Amino acid sequence: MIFTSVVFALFFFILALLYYIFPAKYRWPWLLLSGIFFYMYGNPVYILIIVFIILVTYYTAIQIEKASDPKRILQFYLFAIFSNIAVLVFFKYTNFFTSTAFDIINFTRRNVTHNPQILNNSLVINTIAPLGISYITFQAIGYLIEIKRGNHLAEKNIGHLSTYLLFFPKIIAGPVERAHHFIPQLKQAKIFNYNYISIGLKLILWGLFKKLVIADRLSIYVSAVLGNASYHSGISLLIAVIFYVFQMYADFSGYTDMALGFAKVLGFDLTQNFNRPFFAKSVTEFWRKWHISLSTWFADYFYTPIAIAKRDWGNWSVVYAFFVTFIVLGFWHGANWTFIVFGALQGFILTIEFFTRKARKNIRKKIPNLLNTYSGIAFTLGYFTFSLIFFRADSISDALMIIKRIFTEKGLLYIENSSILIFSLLGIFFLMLVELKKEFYDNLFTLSNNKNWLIRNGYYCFLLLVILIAGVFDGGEFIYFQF
Amino acid sequence: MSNSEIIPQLNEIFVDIIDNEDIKIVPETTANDVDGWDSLTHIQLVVAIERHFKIRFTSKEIQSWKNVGELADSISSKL
Repeated sequence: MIFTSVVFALFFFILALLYYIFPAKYRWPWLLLSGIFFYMYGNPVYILIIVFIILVTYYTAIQIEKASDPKRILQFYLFAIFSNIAVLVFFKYTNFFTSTAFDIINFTRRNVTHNPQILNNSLVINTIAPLGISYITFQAIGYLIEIKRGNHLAEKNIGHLSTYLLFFPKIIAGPVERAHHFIPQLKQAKIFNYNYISIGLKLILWGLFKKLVIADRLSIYVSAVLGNASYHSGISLLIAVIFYVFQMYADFSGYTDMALGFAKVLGFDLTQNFNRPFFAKSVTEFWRKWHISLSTWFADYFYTPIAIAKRDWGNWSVVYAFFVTFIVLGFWHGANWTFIVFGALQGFILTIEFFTRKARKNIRKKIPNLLNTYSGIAFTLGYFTFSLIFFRADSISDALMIIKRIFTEKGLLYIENSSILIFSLLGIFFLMLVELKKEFYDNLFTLSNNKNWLIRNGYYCFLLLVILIAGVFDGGEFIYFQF
Repeated sequence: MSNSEIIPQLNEIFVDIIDNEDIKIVPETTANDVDGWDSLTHIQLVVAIERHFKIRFTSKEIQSWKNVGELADSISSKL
């Protein structure tokens, strides 16, 4: 069920209506039930895998907390983490690992034993990964780590733990919510709060706008050009690659705004995933503003433990932790070398930025502030755009071909339909205008929260009208649903 | 060594590692209060503190501090 579909609108309307009609004590069971329904809507069988994850996570967390023998604690802990990772790896990575293994076998056959016979990968699994499996397992793993570290208590109510993992707004593409942030909210009695509903609906509207008006419009040009990269000129590819960055942001942050909005209507606060990343002045800062719930998850459970364990290596511990973390973060997106390169590129630039911290600080003192800000923003955006070429491409060779053509292939800009290009540019312009206002002039004026009823609602009518007139309604799924 | 003796020494380490002369830490200071105290400098701080006081923290301790006061407690328990 996609957030932008009519079926979902109907689902959410009925759900929210009954949610507030029911007495408070039935509200979380109702959320759990709707989460299960939402999950089973596409592919009902996979709920069994989620039930497995929930049972293992629930049971072992309590055992870890109860046990006093460190060996016993470790056994439960490793069993639970292994079970979660096994589910994730089996569905997402089996084909990648088996085909890589067969590639290696064939390579050695050809070059070492000179055996011309090629073995085909006979272990291919023809199944799609269960919905939101990466997000559900990551939340379960984070929960277990916190219990093991003794920072939080294990949840004794299996219904609450299940509702946390199956809360429908965040099932498919996050945010990667922390249990100790969500479950306490679940235990509070939710009362009908007009303010929450209003904030929630505004978030949903803005998310819809970003998805339907901006992202899906940009997607038309991006798909036309990057889908047939070998036929397009350098300038067309460059424009498409730049459009893709904005498409990605509008798509993913639009989805997140909607997820946060639906949760808000039901009285829940979910974690912010984006904090105007395109105003980051370094790639290091960018990763504190982009997909925040995932990057902080990796910082807490991956980067920090690795860097601490290797701290005797001095600065190299940080470099090592950067690379391991970002390569795994890249690989988390999918079983493809392109994501590994995407991650390694982040590790590489973060290393450079880490070693040049003091030097850059000294330079900053000598040049005007404004120049500093703009050059930092331009570099960060440029580098991220470059790395996203790998993220978007089907293979490393495709990505390299796109990069080569951008620099070498002369030719005119591809314009099949000038209105698509104009609307795309207008979309980017409007998005960045809103972000610019929030970043630098937030206290100056407000349309969305203006005290004047007419201005406030006029703005929302404007957004709604533009969605209806200029929205792309057959744009399909959100980019991050595939991860 | 008491916290009132430890914290001025910590302050010097913070100033040096984070490269900011204006840092003035107190027991209640958290990473959010100090510009530049992030997950990157945190590791450098830990290493510098361990060297300065000639002590060794466990991973669990490093990940448990909520503020400078708790860090100082950890140090004094090892001296």
